[in-house]
Amino acid sequence: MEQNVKDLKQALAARSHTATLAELQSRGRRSVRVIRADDVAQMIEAAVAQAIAASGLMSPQEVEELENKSREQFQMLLERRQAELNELRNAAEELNQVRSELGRVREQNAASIAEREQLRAERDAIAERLRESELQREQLIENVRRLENELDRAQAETPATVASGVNADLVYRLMGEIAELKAKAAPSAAAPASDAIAGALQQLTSTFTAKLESLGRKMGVSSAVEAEAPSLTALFKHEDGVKLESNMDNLTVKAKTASGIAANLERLKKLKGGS
Amino acid sequence: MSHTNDNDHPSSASAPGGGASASTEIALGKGLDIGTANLAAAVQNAEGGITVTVERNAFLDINADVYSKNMLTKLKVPYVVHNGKLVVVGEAAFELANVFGKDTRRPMSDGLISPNEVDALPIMKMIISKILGEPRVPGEACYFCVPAESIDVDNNVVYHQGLFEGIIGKMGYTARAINEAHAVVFSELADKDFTGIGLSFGGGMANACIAYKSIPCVSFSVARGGDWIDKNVAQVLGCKKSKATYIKERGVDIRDPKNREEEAVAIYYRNLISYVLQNMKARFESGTNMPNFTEPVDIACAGGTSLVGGFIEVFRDEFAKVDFPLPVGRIFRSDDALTAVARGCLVAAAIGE
Repeated sequence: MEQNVKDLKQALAARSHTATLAELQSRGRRSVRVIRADDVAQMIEAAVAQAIAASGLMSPQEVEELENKSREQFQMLLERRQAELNELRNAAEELNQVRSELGRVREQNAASIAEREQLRAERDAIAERLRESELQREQLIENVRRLENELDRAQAETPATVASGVNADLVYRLMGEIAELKAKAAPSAAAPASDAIAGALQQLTSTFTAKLESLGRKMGVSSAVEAEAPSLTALFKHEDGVKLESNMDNLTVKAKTASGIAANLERLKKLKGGS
Repeated sequence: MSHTNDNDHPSSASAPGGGASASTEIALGKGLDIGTANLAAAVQNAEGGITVTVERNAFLDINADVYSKNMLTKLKVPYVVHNGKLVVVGEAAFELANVFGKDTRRPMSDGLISPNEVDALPIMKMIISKILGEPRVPGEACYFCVPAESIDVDNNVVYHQGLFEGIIGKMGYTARAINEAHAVVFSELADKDFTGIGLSFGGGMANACIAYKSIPCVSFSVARGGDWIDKNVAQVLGCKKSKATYIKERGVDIRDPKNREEEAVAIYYRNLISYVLQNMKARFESGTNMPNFTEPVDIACAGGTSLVGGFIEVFRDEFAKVDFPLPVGRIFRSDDALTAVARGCLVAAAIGE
């Protein structure tokens, strides 16, 4: 009986659906009749037993066998139904996973597109800066030519005009302009020029510096060259060679051995491109 | 006393191999560490290793009488007679000073030749001559270390360098100067292609050099070292500096000081390390000539002052407190911290750096 009730409950659960009170109300139901599963099972069993007994076709033993067989059949159908439900649930889960993966791929795709757009914008900006640098370089070359002409003229006039101080003013003015040009020519961290442009600017700066130093030394106005540190070795070469009385010649300081430096030398040679 | 009657300076430029290889050729050149506290000379030996001679850079003058002179000779204590005084030199001077409760005289202070000890020059010259030996060939290269300009005091490295170029040159060598911390890079950072930070904690100074593939990019020094610790420890303990040096060198572990004296040593050691690190940070942050390192660089510590127990652990402790502007990998102390600078000078001499 207990098993019958359980089976019945499972069968009812499998073939019925759940409705909330609000849904029932919305369908115009204000009250529902309620029957317990035990009562339903009892009613069915009684009805089946009565029908079989009244037919006189089967003995009680056959009835019991039939009952057991029916129960097994029922159980089998129930399990099959349960397996189908499980498969459906798994399929639903897989579908959800595929949907979430699709969403992720779509997001990645959108990010890649944004990144590509950003790179394009950066490339365009760099190209624009290069164009500007090229224009600036041409302008600097023009200025260099103009200043070189002025320097040549100043050099030609130097011997005659130093005394009057006229060309010293010119040199100071040129120094100012050159300093300005050098500052402009210096590579900027915010807008890096190409290596070729930077090299050309460096070359121009060097040429200018050399010409300025040459003219400045001639006129005695150069202060741009840093003097080298003086060598003081000559200060000590006049020391007397008087040998002091000592017992040190007969003694030796303690010596210890240490690991060799061959590995260091080998490494250093490699670093310097030696054999 | 640590002196013997042997004299075994190598006299040959090449020798059959021992530890290195059968055809090892000993490169000419010598390295000399002219330190405030110690003088050390390094030379390659016939076995493929190197021989380092070390002597304390100190002396003590006592009254010159026949008895004292005989006694010193019997005890094999090195002395020089100078201006009518008997001058005991080197480690022996340090030991005697402690016995008599006196301070040794020091030819150098704060990493440079001391203007107050001009009389000491002939004596120092004798010590250098003794540890360096004769040149094996005329004009053999001798690379000696000089400190970098200090960032915390105004000092004159040019005079110091010129003086020793003169002294070493008169001994028959071709004298070349190399920055002290750069020498540490040469001796300790070979496995990193000579890229990293070399630190030399000496008696008078702490020197720092950051190098990229053996090229020094930034070098500087601070005028604090072992002597600064000794001076402060002596002040707080009310004792002579020699005594403070003795306490420091007798085997203190600055992580675990055992008494008041050791506490004083530990306090000033930690302060010195912190001071050096703060100055390194400030100098490296200033950015001038600083290379950009994509990978962490190692820090190699050397110098006699780094020999104290627990030094590198305390250094790492203090380093962790500093927001250092460079990525740093390994922090280590040289296996032979006292001779690292001399060995680095020798590397430079052998390669003709």
